[in-house]
Amino acid sequence: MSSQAVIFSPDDMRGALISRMLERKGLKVSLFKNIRNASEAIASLKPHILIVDTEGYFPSELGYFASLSPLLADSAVLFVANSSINDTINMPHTKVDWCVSYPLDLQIIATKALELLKPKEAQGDFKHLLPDIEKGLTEEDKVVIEDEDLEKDLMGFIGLK
Amino acid sequence: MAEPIGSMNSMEDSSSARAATSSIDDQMDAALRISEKIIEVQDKADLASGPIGLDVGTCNIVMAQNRGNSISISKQQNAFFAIPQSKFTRQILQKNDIVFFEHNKLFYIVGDSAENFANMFNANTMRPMEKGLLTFKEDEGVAIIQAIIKTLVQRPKRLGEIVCFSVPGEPVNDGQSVSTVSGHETVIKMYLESLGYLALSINEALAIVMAEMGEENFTGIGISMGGGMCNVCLAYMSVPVLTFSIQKGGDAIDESVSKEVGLPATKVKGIKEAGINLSALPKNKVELALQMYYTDLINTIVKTIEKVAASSNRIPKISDPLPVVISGGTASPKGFKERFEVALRGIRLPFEIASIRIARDPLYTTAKGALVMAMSESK
Repeated sequence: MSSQAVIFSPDDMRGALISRMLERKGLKVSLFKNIRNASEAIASLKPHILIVDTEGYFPSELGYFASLSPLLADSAVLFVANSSINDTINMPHTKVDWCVSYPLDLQIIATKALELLKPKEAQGDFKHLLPDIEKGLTEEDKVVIEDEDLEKDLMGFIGLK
Repeated sequence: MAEPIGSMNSMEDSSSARAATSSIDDQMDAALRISEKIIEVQDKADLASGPIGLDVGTCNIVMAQNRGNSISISKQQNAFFAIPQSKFTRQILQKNDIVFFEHNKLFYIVGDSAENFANMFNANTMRPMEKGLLTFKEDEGVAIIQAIIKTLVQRPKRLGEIVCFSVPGEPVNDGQSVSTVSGHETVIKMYLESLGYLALSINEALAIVMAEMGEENFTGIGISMGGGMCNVCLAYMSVPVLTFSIQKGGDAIDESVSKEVGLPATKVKGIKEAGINLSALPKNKVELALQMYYTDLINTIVKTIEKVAASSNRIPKISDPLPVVISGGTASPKGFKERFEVALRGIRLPFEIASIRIARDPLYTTAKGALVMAMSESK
């Protein structure tokens, strides 16, 4: 069984690109444009990961995703943006990460999405998904993940958060 | 509940035990298998059964259908010729199976037959399309194009069969906003749906990617060089990232050369199609003018690619060099690929170019790509 990803993107092309890349990495993807029925869609699909492409959504719409935090207690959320956003999106119940890249970097988005799913499995929640996710990781993904681990180790070593 | 958009896995599919990886890979493999089929050109269109690919071009309309191990192709010139009505003429036309319709005391002869009649009357055929789009010049333009399409696409055996037809990209016209593409698309779609099809459109240059770039994961740049216009599409995993057209093509070369050397454009077209060699020195003034205007067209399209790519914020990060495939009758001359390659390698782009090649069947690539899309959508 593959993990379920729900993507919200107001841009057809960006949404389609992110979907295709995640499908190639082994995720089952549902793509939405309009956030109007987001809560219903999330409640029904129970995604393992929610990806929100922030480019083109109004700040109030992004705030709406924050209000969905209780629904996403067992999910991870990845926000995608071209540049860093000043407004913080507070989702206390949810594991959140950001992917800030311009131009759109599909490889990094896929790597971050797979990384967000991976620790959950280690906790047992999604253990059954491990083979699919491992299969989805390319050598390039692994290098990026290793680089990020190295960076965290280094920051810890020199006393930075 | 909200319905997901696009052709991604739908909510209905979510209960499927099939892994998403195999789903997308299966779709890609299926599309690749279709695109690898050989082409067989038919004199007359078979009765439609199953999905159809339709290339609605300024000069020709080409229909592609799946036939087991091959793809069957039928085509008609997108042209007409009007002659005065008479009982005698009607009998002659009917006896010779010539496609025509009557309006305002005229017989409109359409498709390939139109050229024979035009030659007989020492006149030129007329076209219901100009520069890739339906023209407003002819009162009967819509009826004519319907009559031509009908010679190739009859009513489907089953209601709701898929027909995928080509449409051009938005024209890039030096800052002018000319957007008649969606109106053109709507008219064609309405007609095909009135026949009983589910009609879907595909960008003309994306169809080239679908027909030719299966082994490259449907990622690369497709360029269609037709009579009325040139179309460009940069696609990533079959998603069209950048599409545009320039309203200049083979016809513009013929007309410019015609003005330079004082020959009728149809005569210039004949010389061009007889086999101009762009890699050899020109032997006369017509060849010289043809070479100059070919170079001008190549430079225009390449410079436009550079300009559009530089001003776009929609191109994702692409690490692998992209292949380029060129199709269409205007890309047929010997030496075209080499000349295009020199021009393309001379511009700056936000991605690398891997290789440049001419499509396997340049005249039928768009119809084949539209068929690949139609078959993918009907699975």
